[in-house]
Amino acid sequence: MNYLRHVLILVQKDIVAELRTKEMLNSMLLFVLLTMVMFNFAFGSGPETETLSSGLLWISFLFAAILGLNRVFVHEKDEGCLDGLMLCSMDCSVIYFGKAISSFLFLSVAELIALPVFTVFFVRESFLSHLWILIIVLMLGNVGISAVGTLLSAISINTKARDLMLPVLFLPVIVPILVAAVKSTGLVLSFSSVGTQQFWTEIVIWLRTLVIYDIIFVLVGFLTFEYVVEE
Amino acid sequence: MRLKNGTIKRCLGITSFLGIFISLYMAFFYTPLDKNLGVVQKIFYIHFPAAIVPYFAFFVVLVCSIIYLKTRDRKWSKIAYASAEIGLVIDTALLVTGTIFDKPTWGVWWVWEPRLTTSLIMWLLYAGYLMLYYSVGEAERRSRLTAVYGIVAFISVPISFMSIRWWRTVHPIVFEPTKIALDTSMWVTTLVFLFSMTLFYAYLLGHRVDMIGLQEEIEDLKDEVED
Amino acid sequence: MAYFAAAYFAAWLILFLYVFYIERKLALLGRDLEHLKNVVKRKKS
Repeated sequence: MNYLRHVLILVQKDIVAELRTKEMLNSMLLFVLLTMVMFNFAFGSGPETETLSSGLLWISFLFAAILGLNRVFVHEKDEGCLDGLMLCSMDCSVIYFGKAISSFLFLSVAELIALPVFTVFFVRESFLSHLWILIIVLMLGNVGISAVGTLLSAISINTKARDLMLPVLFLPVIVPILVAAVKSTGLVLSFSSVGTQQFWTEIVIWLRTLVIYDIIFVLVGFLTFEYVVEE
Repeated sequence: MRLKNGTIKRCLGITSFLGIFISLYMAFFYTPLDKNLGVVQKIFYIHFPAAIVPYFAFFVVLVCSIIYLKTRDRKWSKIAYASAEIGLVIDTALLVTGTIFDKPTWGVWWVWEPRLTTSLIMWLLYAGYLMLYYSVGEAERRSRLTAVYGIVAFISVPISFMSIRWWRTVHPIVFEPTKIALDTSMWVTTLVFLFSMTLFYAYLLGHRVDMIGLQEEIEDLKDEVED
Repeated sequence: MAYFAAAYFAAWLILFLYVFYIERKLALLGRDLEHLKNVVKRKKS
């Protein structure tokens, strides 16, 4: 119980810090919007770009996530907060879960604001009846991104290149989640043209991939995080 | 001990080079020509071992990384790094032969097919691993960070493979990979090639680990000279 | 035939260059080490 309380205190601390500076949320949000606008200029808007829109959604979220994840440990490291946390008599994985949960929350908030904008810009058919599936997909995707992203962000903050390192390490690892998330988002956006039965059999495959991936990476992060931050 | 070590390495070198010559000979002269593909099919004999050995090398990275994190013996992190680099080099050879193999068999240079795509992702993962290695100064911290990334990277390889396969099978298959039916002499050649390629990997690994040892010795001496 | 030759050539070129790199680097490092050892010895005496 104490463990959970410690995690929640860390999350609360991150939320307070973020609400004071708002640097992570603002930059992520603006970045997502900019990517969408740039996408429109790069590929034009028409029926042919509609099949690309699920990919666009995840690419912009992924790059925004990198932007946010880069900041996760910057303050902790520069202000010496991480050393202070390490001195507390608690398990290292508390820090990991605290950081992963807070970056999950920030990512989700940014996506929640960006999703309506995306719908207005790029989606022609209403998918309101299947919105809940899309939300599950987004949440599962965010769990994977923040679980592996927090671990890799802690690694890259310890290198000389710092934030240049994160995309190089993060993007190839995240491939399976990108594939699964893009596929299931595409299915939700075009559910009317796919038969109901086919829709369900396919969506189950992709959601299962996401869940497996999430479990594995939360476990790996939980088990290896202490080796990254120990000093 | 040192002499013994050197002898083993020399033996490994000689046998792996001999093995590769024998397997090249077998590939060129012993195996029959493929009916459909002709001489192009012979690329397979080098392509197949080049596909298996990187998996093996990266698996060695995983095992050595775990052992390093448990024992904190620097020896293991040296082996892990050396294995990653050699795996990356052989993976490069695999990707190059793969693209050349694809053109006459499937008509295009690149097919986003599970095995090929996984090899590419593997290449990117371990290129990241090498970058990480070179961007950390202190040896102890470098070993720790690369060990963690070595574990994460290897774990994502099978899931990537599975997700790409599902991605492909759910999609209509544009290119049906031609099934290569091999007769006995072809299999024997492939296995001999695989065996000698593995020996070659072991030989390179020994040299690469020596090299890291030398580099660290030099760093230590440099510090001593500067003090 | 051209593809066949290109594939074998490319694969062996990559492996050969790597072996060459290792051997060369090992030789250079060995020389550096000798040199540094001499420097240390001179400094001590």
